Amino acid sequence: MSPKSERRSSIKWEELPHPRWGLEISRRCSFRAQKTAHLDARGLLLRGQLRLDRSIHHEFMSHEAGEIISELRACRDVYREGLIDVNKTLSTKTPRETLCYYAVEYAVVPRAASLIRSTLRRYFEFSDIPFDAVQLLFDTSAGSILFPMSEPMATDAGRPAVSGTRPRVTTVEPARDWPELLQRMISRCVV
Amino acid sequence: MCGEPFHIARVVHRSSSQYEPGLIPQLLELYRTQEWWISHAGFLWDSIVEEIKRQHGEVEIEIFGRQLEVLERTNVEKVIDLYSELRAPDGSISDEDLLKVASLADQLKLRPAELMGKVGTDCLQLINRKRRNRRQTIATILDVVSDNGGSNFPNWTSICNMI
Repeated sequence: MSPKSERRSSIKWEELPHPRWGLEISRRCSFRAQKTAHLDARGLLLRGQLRLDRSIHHEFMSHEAGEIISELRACRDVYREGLIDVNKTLSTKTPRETLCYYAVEYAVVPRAASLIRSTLRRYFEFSDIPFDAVQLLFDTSAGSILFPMSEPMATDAGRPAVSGTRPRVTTVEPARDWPELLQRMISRCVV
Repeated sequence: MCGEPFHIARVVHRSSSQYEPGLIPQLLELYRTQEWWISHAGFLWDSIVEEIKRQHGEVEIEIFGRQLEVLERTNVEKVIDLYSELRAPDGSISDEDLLKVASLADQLKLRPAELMGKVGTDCLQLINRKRRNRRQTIATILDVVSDNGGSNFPNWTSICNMI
């Protein structure tokens, strides 16, 4: 049985204690083991050297990928444990593997997209990557035509929409800054 | 899981409204000059996608585990169904029918201790004590039933209820 087919669950995602679980994920990630102190120091050094030395970029990205993966695993664990606890209190139980699927699909994947965006933003800024070049290459939606999806709304109650109104055609503006550009490049649906 | 935001295919894939003569060669040239950092950004993307795939794999294993559990439970349920079918309304069962139940359990490769829970384990210990003198061990459910004289076998109902 695929968890995708078990969509009918008594768990309401928006009612879960996300802030508390988010805090628990942060707590687990902020706690640094004594033996990994040299890795943290190395990360800081790499970040400071990005503009000067292209040969360290791969190591920097490898370090950042490790940090993201570590946080995603903490996210998986906290959501799994939390969902299992919540499930115990409900009269209609959801199978354990469905809860695991929810943890990955609705908690880990969106967090992954968000972490990739913030890491890339730091990388682009610390490495002095030209915004215009990234925008030109990867902002593929810029310049696309936006067609109106519905008829124009009537302005007065009971009065029909004006039939002769010409639909307004607009185009997508280019992204203005890194957050907007990265949001377009890495949206939740493409991860 | 689809899409690779830094792949070259994303650069050349433009809608017709954006098309201008000479745009694609210009973008490809730009891509080549910027490839030194694009490859690192792509590496980050690939690493995270691999992790997500791995976590989805964990879910698949959970599902597989549950399917196995269902399969195993079904075998036990087959034995209980036969037992329920053969016993009389007052709960008694003939020696012959009890042997049929035991044969089915053996045929389904159920082990005595697994089938009978705590009560069954106590019973097995009792039988093993009796058999120790004969230097025999319990191997099958049929051994258990035969050794206990069929319907004298204690607490079949409670054993099956505990499964």
